Amino acid sequence: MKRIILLPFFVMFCLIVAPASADTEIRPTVSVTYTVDPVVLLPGDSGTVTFELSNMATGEVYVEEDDETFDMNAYVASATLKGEDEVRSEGPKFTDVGLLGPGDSISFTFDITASENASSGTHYLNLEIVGGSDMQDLNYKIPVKVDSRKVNLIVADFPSIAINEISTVSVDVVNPLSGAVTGVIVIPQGDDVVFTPSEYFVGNLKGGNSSTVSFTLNTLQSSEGIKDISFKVLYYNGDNLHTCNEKTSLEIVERSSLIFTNLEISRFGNNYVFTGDLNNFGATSANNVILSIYPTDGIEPVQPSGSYFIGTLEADDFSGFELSASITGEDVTEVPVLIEFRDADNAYASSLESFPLNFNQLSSSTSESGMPVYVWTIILLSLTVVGFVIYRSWKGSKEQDSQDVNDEQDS
Amino acid sequence: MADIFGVLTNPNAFFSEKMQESIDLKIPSLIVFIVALISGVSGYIMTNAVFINIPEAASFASVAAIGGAIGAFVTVFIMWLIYTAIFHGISALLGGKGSFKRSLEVVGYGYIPTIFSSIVGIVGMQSLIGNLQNINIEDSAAYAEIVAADPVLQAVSVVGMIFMLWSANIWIFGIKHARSLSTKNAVITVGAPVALYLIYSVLQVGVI
Repeated sequence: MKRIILLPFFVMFCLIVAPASADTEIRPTVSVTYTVDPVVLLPGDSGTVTFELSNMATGEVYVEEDDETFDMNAYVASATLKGEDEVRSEGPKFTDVGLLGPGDSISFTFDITASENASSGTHYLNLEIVGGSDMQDLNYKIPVKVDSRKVNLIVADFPSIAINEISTVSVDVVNPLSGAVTGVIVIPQGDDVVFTPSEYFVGNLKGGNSSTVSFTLNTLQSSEGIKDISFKVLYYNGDNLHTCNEKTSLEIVERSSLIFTNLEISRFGNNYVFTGDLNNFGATSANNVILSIYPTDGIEPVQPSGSYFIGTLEADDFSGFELSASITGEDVTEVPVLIEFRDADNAYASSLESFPLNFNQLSSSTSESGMPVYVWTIILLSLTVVGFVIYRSWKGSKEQDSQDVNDEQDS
Repeated sequence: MADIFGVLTNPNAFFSEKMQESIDLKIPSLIVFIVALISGVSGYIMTNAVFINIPEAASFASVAAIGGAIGAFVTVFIMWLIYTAIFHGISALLGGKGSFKRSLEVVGYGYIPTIFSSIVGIVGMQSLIGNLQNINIEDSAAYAEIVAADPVLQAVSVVGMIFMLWSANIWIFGIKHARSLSTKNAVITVGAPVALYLIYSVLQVGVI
């Protein structure tokens, strides 16, 4: 709160307790200071104006001079602050305040309110102090500033398009007022996206200053489409809560920031080995990256590569991997792979991708026991040929035995 | 000299005629030698492929492969003797008569179908080795499990069992004539050990 001294030590009024003589008068000196809180009112704001009256006299209450006794007490009958149309005074009215001894001071606090349509500029309130006895009444014009400008938010570093990734965005909170605002909080909101932290406490923001606030924007699980994004700013001007909303939009393109390439699938019965590269297509690095076969019906991770640790994967970088899974389900068309990592803020993040498995082709060439049909064809062919040869050999054997018996009988 | 191809299509007539001739182990030895040679090549390829993919054993893969080849080669000849001994022994219990060399001769002829199955085995093994090159596995137990689960390897085993039936068919007629047995006793002599072997093989492969 800024303290403004209206007239340092000198603007005063005099209370004449008892004139000492026709030539000499000794009177107490009273100074008036005031403060306005908040320094600048926004239209609709309430505030206070506090006056402090100080009796600048020092020494005894009664002063002897030329056989005269002078009373150095100041007597205040009433204090009133009168407003105007755009800045009203809400009272109270101080009456019959009493004596103010030498070196003493007293404060008067008045509530003021700026109307909703108050114009920007300086508005003058009228302080009326009425003295007792033959004290002179005094009026002061108290300047109160009203500013219709508000704290606003500039979305300077925010993408218009994002993929399924984790990125960092920042906004600037700007205070164009001449006075400080307090308790500034920025709350990001968005459909189908996640901001971290969910709100950010800026604290005090001095007049004419700005503060940059960064958020982690998580769109890993976001669906495709345009999302409404807003940043809400809460702040206090004095005791008056204000809000500010800045809206923008974000188009989500369904594409993972961590993508698989060069995927090769090797099959050993029901066991599959997946090898390839994991690429960081995003704008930020992914730390502690680990890949795992995600167990589902008919799909189980198997050793030695049920999981594969990659480590840090910088943006625009890639790393090889190997995963192995046992697939016993008949309707499996893809193998889910869980990608777990920590983002730039060391926060845990995960996404579920999948390896395509052209199981229509596989299932048509695969028996229930996991043996391809062409293998069964070879087996059946071999069985047929060998069976036929064995059958022929036994048939020939019987014919020969019959012939041998006939030959023996003939002989 | 009996038609060598007759042993495949009409072994009864082939061995009936063969018994009129003196014992000659040259052709049976050549047949078994061919089988042993193919098995040796298979042993070399397979052992080399497996050892190369095991990091701690990769350095001596070549030596192990040569060992595997020699082992496979010798095993075929040993198995020739073992089969003959088993058939000769069982047939003796069933009243069979005849020399061991004659038995050795007829069992040797029974290895002809094995030549075909060994060739199929080599072709299948090439496919398996192609798959093995894509994996790098330090756990040898898991590695063996994956290799055993390979459908090509399983198919090779099944084809081997089918051709074993063909060999058994030849042995039945061979032992029948070599040991002067009835057909029934010849079937028992050959069928019992071969059936045991096939059951064991089925349990090992576990695909049927």
